[in-house]
Amino acid sequence: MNKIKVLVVDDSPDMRLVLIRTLKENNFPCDEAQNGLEAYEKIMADSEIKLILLDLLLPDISGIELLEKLTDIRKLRDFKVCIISGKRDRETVVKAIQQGVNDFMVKPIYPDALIAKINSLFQLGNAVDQYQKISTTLKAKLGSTPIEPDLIILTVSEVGMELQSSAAFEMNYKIELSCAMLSNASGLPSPFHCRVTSCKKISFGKYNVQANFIGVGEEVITKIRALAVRGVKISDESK
Amino acid sequence: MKETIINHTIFDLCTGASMEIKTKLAQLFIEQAENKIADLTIALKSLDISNIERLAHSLKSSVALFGAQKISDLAEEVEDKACGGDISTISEDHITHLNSLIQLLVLELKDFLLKSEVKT
Repeated sequence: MNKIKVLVVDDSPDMRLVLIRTLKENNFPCDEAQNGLEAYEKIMADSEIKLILLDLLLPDISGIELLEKLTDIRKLRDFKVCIISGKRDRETVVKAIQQGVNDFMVKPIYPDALIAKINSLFQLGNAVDQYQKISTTLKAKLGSTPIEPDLIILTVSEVGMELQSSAAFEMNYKIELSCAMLSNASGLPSPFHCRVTSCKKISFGKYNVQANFIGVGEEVITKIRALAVRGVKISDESK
Repeated sequence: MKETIINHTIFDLCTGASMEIKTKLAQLFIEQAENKIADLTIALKSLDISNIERLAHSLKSSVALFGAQKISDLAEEVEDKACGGDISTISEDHITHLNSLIQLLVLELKDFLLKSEVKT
């Protein structure tokens, strides 16, 4: 049995049916809530919950409002939030990102994609080691010299990024979304530079995406951990 | 070849091709179909924008599991109009069209259930 307990929050019984069954088949302990307040109560009462799969449009409070209510408890407890929504407008995505969601999936959600996403969210070990190594190297490199803009260039690769369709619009949208989430997770100072350098299709609906981040020295070093814990591969290409 | 509402490739992808889950989803949708469209009609008549948005959104997600793209697109159109606060452009035709497509989906799902019973 997996140790990651998942709470599915969705008002649609059909979505809950599919998601819960997928989780159970893959040995994830799980629970479900059909509205925001029921979810809030379950999260407060059950410290075993490590991941919330959250729909944004709920009948009582919205997913965004639920996240706002959870702000304090998230400082004390470590759990991740992955939005599962049919809403794909930029404003909603930005609001969700501002509330610190860890990832975003657009419905319909395929069972294998869901499991891959959870595995990716919780594969922490190697990524954290990678972060520590890069952090040490960069600190040694910078020493006490004045920090200059554009000093550090991080190449970020997200392998097997999910795209709901191969249509160009969807692809661009997801790339933008991925970059927005990466930039938020890293806490890079604004303005920063993020550029997608390659996007290769590896199989149906899955792409390898590589992007460059250019930010300001120490801030990048101290804040890339959030990227590392998401399982994103990071390499230092500074001169 | 006759055009169908259900896209069985998507239906399989969304359910891991499990007959058990496909059957449950079909039964669930058939049970709820009438309420879904009735609730949407009531919300539209009472100009309840947030409910129109939520119900259309929920319908869009539900039918997407069957790969019912036409219904999903139409529900998304209604959702977007409600989200933009412009429900004056949502006509009864939208709801009538949605209703007729949903009835077709229900018929296809009933047919699917019958065939799956025969197989078992």
